[in-house]
Amino acid sequence: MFQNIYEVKITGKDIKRFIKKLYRNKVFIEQLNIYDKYAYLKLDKENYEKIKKIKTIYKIELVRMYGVIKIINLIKIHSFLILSFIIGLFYLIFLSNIIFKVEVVHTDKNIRKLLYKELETYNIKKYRFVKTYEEKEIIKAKILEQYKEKLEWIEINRIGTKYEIRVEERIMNEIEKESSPNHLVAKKDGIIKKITSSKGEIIKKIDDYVKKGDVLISGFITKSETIKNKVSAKGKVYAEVWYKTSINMPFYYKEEKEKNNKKKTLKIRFINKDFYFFNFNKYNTYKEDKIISFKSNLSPIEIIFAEEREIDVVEKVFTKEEAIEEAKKRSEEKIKLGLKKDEKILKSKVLETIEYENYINVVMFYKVYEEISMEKKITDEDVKEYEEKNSSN
Amino acid sequence: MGGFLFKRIKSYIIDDKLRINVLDNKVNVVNYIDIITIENERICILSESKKIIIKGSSLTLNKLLENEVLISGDIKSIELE
Repeated sequence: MFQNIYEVKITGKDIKRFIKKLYRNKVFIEQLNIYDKYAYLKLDKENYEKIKKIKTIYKIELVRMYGVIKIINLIKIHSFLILSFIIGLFYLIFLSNIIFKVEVVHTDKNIRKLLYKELETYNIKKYRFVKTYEEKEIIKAKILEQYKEKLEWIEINRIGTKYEIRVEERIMNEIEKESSPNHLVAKKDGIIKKITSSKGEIIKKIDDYVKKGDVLISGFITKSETIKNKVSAKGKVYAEVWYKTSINMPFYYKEEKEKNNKKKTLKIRFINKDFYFFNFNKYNTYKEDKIISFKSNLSPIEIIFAEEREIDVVEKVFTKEEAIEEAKKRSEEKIKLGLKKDEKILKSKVLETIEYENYINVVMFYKVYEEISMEKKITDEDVKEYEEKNSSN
Repeated sequence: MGGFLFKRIKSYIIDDKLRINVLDNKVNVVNYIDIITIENERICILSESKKIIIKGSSLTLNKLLENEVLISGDIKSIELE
C-alpha cells in the first residue's frame, strides 16, 4: 500500500524491442502488459526515473500512480483549491470568533452607557475576540462587585458574532423626601372636568375655564385668609383641552417597515450584482450594514461581510378621500402618542383641506381629555402676592 | 561439518537457486542471469548452469525483475540445455 508504483504507457512500432532495450538498461518491471503497438508497465520510483532518462523515439507517458505518491500528486494538482479551502476555513473560524456587535438591553440610557464603558475596559467591544465562558463569568462578577449598589444581575449572551448583555438594575427603596412646598398649576388652557387631591386646597371647580399658569390646587393651608402652613400640594386635575394639527399627506406614499429578521452574509459585489456564499434564504428587500468590506479603486469587485435586515416596502397611491382619511389617522396617532393611559380624544373634526399637486394639507381640530396639573414651587413672591391680595379685599 | 552447515544456512537465507514454476499458460523463472532472446515464438533465458528455452506462440513478458521473469502466452514446450 505504501509502495509508490508508476503506471506508464509506451507507444511505438516495436514494443518488444523497446522492452529488450529497457532490460539492457537494467530497468525492471513489476507488471507488463504488451499489446500490438503499445504496452502498459508498472514500475517503482527508481525504475521510473531510469526510464525517463532513456533517449528514445518511443512515446512514454505516465498514466497513473499508486500509493502515497498518488495522494501527494493529487495535493500538488489541487494545491490552489486546497489552500483556498484551508484559508477560507481559517478565515471563517477567525471571523466567527470576532465580536461584531455589543448590545446592552436595558431601558435606562445611563445603565447602558455605564455597561458599554465597563465592558470596553474588559475588552468586550467591536472587533475583539470572543471570551471564554470562564472569562465571561469573571467579568460579570467583577462588574457586579464594582456596581453592587446599581446592578442586581447581569448576563452576557453570545448570539453568533454578537454579544447581548442583559442587565437588571438594583432598585433601592428610597426614603420619600419631603419636597419643598408647591402649588399645582395648569400647564395649558382648558375646562376642568375632574379634580382629585390628597394634599392642599382645591381652588377651582368642575367646568371652570382655566388659563395656563392658574393655580388649581394651592399649597397654602389657610385659616381666615391667613397662611397657616405651606405644603406640597398633591393631586390630579383633568381638563378638556384643544389642539389644532396640520398634516401634509402625499398622494404617492412609500414606506419601509423593518422586520425582525436579520442575518450576516458574505458576498462578492460585481458592478451592483451580488454573489453570495451560503445564502440559502435571500431577502427580497433589505437594508445593509457593512461590517467588513474589501474594495480596490482599480477593480469593480468588492468583498463584503455585512448584516442584512429584512424590510417590507409598502407603496400606495391615494385618492383625495383616501389621503384625507390617512391624514386623519396619522394626525390622531400623533395626538394619541402624547396621551397617557387615562387620557383620551373626546372629539375630532377636519377644519380645512387644501389640495396641492402632489399632496393634500389637512387641518384638524381635537378636543382632548387630559391631565393639566403640574407642580410649581411656592416662592416668597407668591406668599407676598397672596397676602397683598387678601389684605386689599 | 562446519562448512556443510554454513552452506545449508547460506542457501536457506540467500535463495539463489534456479526455480522454474509452470502455471496455466505462464512460466515463472526465478534466479536467472540473463535473457538472451525475446521473440513471439521463443524466449531464451540463461541461468547459472543451464539455458532455458521456452517455445510457443504469442509469448510476452508479464514481469521483468532483476532475478525474476514471468512469461505468458500459448506455451508449447520448455527445454533445458
